[in-house]
Amino acid sequence: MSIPSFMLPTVPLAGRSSGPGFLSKAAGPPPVGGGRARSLNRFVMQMQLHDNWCWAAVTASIAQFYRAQSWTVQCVVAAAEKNTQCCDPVNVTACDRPAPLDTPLGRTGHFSQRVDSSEEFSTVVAEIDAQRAFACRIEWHQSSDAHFVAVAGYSVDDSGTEYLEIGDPLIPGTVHTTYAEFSSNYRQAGAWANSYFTLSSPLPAGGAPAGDALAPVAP
Amino acid sequence: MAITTSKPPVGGNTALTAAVEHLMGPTDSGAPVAGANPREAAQPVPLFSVRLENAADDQFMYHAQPTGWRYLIFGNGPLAIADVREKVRGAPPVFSQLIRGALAERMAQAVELAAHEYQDASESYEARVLEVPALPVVAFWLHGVRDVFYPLLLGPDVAKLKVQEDTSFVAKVTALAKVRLERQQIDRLQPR
Repeated sequence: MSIPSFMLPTVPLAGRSSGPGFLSKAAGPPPVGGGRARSLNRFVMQMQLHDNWCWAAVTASIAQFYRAQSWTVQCVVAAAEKNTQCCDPVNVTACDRPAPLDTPLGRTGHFSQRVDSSEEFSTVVAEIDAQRAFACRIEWHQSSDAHFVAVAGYSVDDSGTEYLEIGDPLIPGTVHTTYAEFSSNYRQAGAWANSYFTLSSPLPAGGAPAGDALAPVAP
Repeated sequence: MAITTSKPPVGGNTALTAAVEHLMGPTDSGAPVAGANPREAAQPVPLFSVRLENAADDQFMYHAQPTGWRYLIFGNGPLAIADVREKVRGAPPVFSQLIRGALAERMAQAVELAAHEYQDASESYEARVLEVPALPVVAFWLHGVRDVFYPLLLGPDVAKLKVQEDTSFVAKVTALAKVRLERQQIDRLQPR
């Protein structure tokens, strides 16, 4: 690619490009030098299919990670949550609505609990090390709007800076941010408000914890 | 020059380099890899953010708040975008986020197109990036006598969006924002 003159001069960064090989690592663990790092094996965040379906995309992605095959399609997740046929495009208006994460995730059998706060970095590390998916609700600053994402990995550099790898159903690609930025200023626009723990072994049928009626929602 | 960028933040390169080395390794200091280009960052462009509630107004660009600077990182092609921001005005910037994948490729396309179409224009434009994180909307923005937008993300359907100047960008953003806000209002009034 050619860099236009208004974006010159370029600044050399250490290391050498691995070109397409580098991009192929996008869904894998972050390459790090010296520090700790771990990612969820095989976790791939689906892009949400409608404006308000972050909850459906996060649920379907977590279901896919745990191989809960019945819930890996977003419109199936949405149909159960909205109690209507959401795989039919004519029902978009009824289906493309905000929702909590507790209840759709509960249907997969892999929902453990919601905590109405952010969590310590060490807690996230423990979940990822145990290969358990972990979701978060982001409240956009000065807004009534919110958004669900999932943590797909973590790393710590040699100076002790803590990083998180975020699967965001609105962003193509992988988002890497510091734990500090993610907690209070995700994408320079939101704060981590709620945490969703999951179970690697599904609960028996009918045993999923139900989300409460006031569970926080997000598009 | 018709397209300019504002002065980059002092210390931005330092904040960026440490994070990129960690996240994108390898940080080889030995023999160069055959055929690989050195990893570099282009000069950053200022990043502006608009709240959902303001995005429903067709003058939303005047509500855009500066939130940091965005770097395009490339080697053998675009690799990632990375942001730094000042936590406190005047303080050294901190690394904010690095996003690998399609957004970097789209930003590179937009930058090249903008240079081709406006670099020799008689009017002056400042290169910026505009985001409405809640929608999601991301656009390369030439701010000048008129505002020119190259959308990189405009709603969830990324695959269908071709990177090109979009003269109806403002109308599309306000429409997306209004629908979102209306549905929020209806959902608040109805029992769940």
